Amino acid sequence: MRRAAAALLLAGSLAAGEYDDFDFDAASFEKRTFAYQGYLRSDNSYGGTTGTRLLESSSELNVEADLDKTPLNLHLDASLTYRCSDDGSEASDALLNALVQRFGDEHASLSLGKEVLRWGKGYAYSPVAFFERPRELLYPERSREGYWMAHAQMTRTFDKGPVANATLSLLALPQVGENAPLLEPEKRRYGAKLYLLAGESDIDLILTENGCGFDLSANAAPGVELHGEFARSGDGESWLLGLRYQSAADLTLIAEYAKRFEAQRFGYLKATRKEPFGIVYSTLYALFTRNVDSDSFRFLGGGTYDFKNGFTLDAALLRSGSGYGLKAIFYYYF
Amino acid sequence: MRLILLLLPALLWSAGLLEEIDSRLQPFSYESYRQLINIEPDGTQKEFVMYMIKKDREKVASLFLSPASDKGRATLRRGENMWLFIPGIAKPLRIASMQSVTGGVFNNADIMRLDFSVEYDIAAQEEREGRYILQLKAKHGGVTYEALEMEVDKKSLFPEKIDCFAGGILLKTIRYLKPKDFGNGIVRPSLLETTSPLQKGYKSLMLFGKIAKRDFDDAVFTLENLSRLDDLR
Repeated sequence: MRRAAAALLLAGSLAAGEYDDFDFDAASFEKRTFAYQGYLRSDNSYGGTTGTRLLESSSELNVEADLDKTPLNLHLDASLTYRCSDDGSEASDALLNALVQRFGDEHASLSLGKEVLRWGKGYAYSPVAFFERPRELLYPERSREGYWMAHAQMTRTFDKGPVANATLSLLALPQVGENAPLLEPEKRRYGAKLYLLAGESDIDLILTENGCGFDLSANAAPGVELHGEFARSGDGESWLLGLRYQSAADLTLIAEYAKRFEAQRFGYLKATRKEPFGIVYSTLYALFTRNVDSDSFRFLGGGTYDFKNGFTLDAALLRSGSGYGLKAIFYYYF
Repeated sequence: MRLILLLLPALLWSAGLLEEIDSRLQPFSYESYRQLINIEPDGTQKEFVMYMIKKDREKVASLFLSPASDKGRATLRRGENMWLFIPGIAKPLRIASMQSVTGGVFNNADIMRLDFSVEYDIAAQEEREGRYILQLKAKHGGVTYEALEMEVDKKSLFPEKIDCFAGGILLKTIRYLKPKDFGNGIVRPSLLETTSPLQKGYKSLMLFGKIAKRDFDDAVFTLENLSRLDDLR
């Protein structure tokens, strides 16, 4: 057996001559006690989409650091931002997230710290995101700052039955200054979410002190995902319906229609094509949103290119009812 | 002894040749470190490093460790369901098997591959020059490639080359190269090369740097724990 294995290894090494120089040393990627990562972002825009012609520039330095030294487990995510425009300039800093400590394991855990929660299935907007800061429709991923909370999570898996696994999340939020958006006008200090993988569907049932809701996501066909959300609170009712289509040719379409709590209805359509015209590591996108009640719209069309050395460029044309704008965003990841 | 050797192919057939191939390639439950390299026609490369875990026949999860722009991304596969988690930015998204989170020739199903015996049946088998030539047919319409033609070394039962078809069209060819002893009885090809007639001149490589048996609880392979994969390392 040992001789056969040796012969096999020898035969294999002879056959793979063209890749003799390729070797992967996994040891250099083993987990370290301290690790950090981050990015520099320079966001430059020029245009009159707000009614006046402005040159605006925003620069952000973001650093995430992890210290994993048993029993201490720290995670920090902080940003330093500098904005300047024709109107003036300002600098700000923010501790976006800080996971102070996590106890437990994959079955039951308790996290203490400032954490961003992404409840809901909508891309542009989520009615059930009771504990998330408002998202900007064109750049929803920019809403990265969390809230201070204690977050308990319990997971169970099942070998039989319609539910494959279930996770119960419980939240308690202290009354501190940075949590103020959740405390006014109505107090939102506690929350609970039950996630179920039922059949081939993701289901969340959500309860807060003064609101409730649910969301659902499922594959309707290969490459086609449907999602929906409904929420009720002291502000009224809100809902969202959406679908996401992904083709084998790396075209992705996201379509959503939603009603906010304030009775505003809007539509959201985004098309993304990866590696168009055979240009690898590039992406073209077009995004259109329309507020049905105010009959206003915004269009964002552009492309990104990953230079493979940590630099990424995102250039776009912005169009709204009040004018045109141009954007160029540079990222450097480290 | 000679009789047993003569009967071995038939025994394997009856016991499930595909299951045996699966078991030679990877333990039932394991952790691994892998490097993905996308190579362009001019030689330019983009590299990714992933920590990947697998349990049973259809539970797979991975965590991107490099490059910096992708670090912390995680993927989960349970059967035909796949999700992508991007830390701090987005919620877990359901993703399609034919798309690729890394670009290049590998798609999501290639990276988070299930056991062959989970997705395919042997439709035809022949022997040629020390190899089994297997025609595999997908068990249902949700499988990424509807058919595979697999060349398997008869001695080692390692795949040497797999042609992947959909709609009767050859989409890609995967070659299994450089067998390596990873210790604790795990010997398997350490390099996979993927090329596609649809992306001429491009190729993608998957290099195994470490693979070791390790048991995981089922709760690890759940959506709500996807952001915590790094805690397992």
